Amino acid sequence: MKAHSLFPVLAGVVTTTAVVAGLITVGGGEDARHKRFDVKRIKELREIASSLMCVRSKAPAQVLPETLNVESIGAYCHRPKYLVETDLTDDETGEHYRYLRRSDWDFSICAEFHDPHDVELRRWNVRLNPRTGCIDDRVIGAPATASDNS
Amino acid sequence: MGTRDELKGFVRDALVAGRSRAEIADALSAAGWGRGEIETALSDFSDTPFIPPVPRPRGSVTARDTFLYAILFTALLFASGYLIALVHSLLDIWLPDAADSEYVRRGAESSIRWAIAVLIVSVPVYVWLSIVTDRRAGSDPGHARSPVRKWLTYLALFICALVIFADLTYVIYALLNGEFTLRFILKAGAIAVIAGLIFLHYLRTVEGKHEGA
Repeated sequence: MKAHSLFPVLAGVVTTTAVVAGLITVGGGEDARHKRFDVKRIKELREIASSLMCVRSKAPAQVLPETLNVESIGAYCHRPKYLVETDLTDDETGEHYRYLRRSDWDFSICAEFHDPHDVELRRWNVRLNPRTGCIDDRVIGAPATASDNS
Repeated sequence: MGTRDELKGFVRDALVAGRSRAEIADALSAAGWGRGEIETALSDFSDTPFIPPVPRPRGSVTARDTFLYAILFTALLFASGYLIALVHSLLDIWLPDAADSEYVRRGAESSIRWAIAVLIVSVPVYVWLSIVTDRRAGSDPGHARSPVRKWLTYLALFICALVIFADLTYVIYALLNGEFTLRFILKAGAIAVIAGLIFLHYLRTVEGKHEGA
């Protein structure tokens, strides 16, 4: 009878060890929440980058906007279908995503990621630079630069 | 059922008539009854010279036992299944395979969180109910004879045996198919150890109470 009562205790110890190992490996609820915010950031950055690349017209009439808001993006190319003003801000910090206009047709759109190296972010198929937290891209149909020609 | 009652009635009548157990066994054997059937029929009555023959206690099905053991074995099923899932997902992360897609890790993390949630609920329920039912069985032999306990224990043994059987089959298949990696060996080993320990524990439980069941 003693050995019988030992089994549930053994089961409890083994399971507790496995649960602790699991928590150490994947982190607790706070880590998971950070990851969810990172995923939201990458989705919003991708949406903004896609709007700035001006996919529909292929040949933008104007150069990239100086500042970033839904109106300026709409005036530059076409009003983004899925982009709303709140998508331009980080929902965790409440701050605007950083927009860097590197030239008339080159831009970077950046956010502060908790873990920019997380493999989860790679599945969104964007050119995220993990060191800077920026998507660096170029307008589709932009004229070739001098360096491109050489 | 009718045949068993008939046999029991015969044994009872023979004991009342003063026949020894050996004589009854010989008579039944001569009539074609098997050794196991004869032993079971004779074990229905206590081996004492008291007349009329004293019936041995038999377990009875109660709603309370059914409730307790159904919850206990359901908790065991969930706990063991998700413990295996947890170990497998941990191995997916700890020992990444070059052939893995990048979604394997994401799937493993999600699976680990779900397994932890299931284990945090099911394991305490299983441990607590095991202790409660073991104490009840220890203090009152009537509880230890519960047919629900016996049937569900054999069901657990059956499931464990199937799992071990399938595990071994898959190990051989993987060996033949060139999938024999360290991660695979550890995963198969985890299944074998968990299912094997449960099997051995419950096998000992039923063997210990075999005569009373």
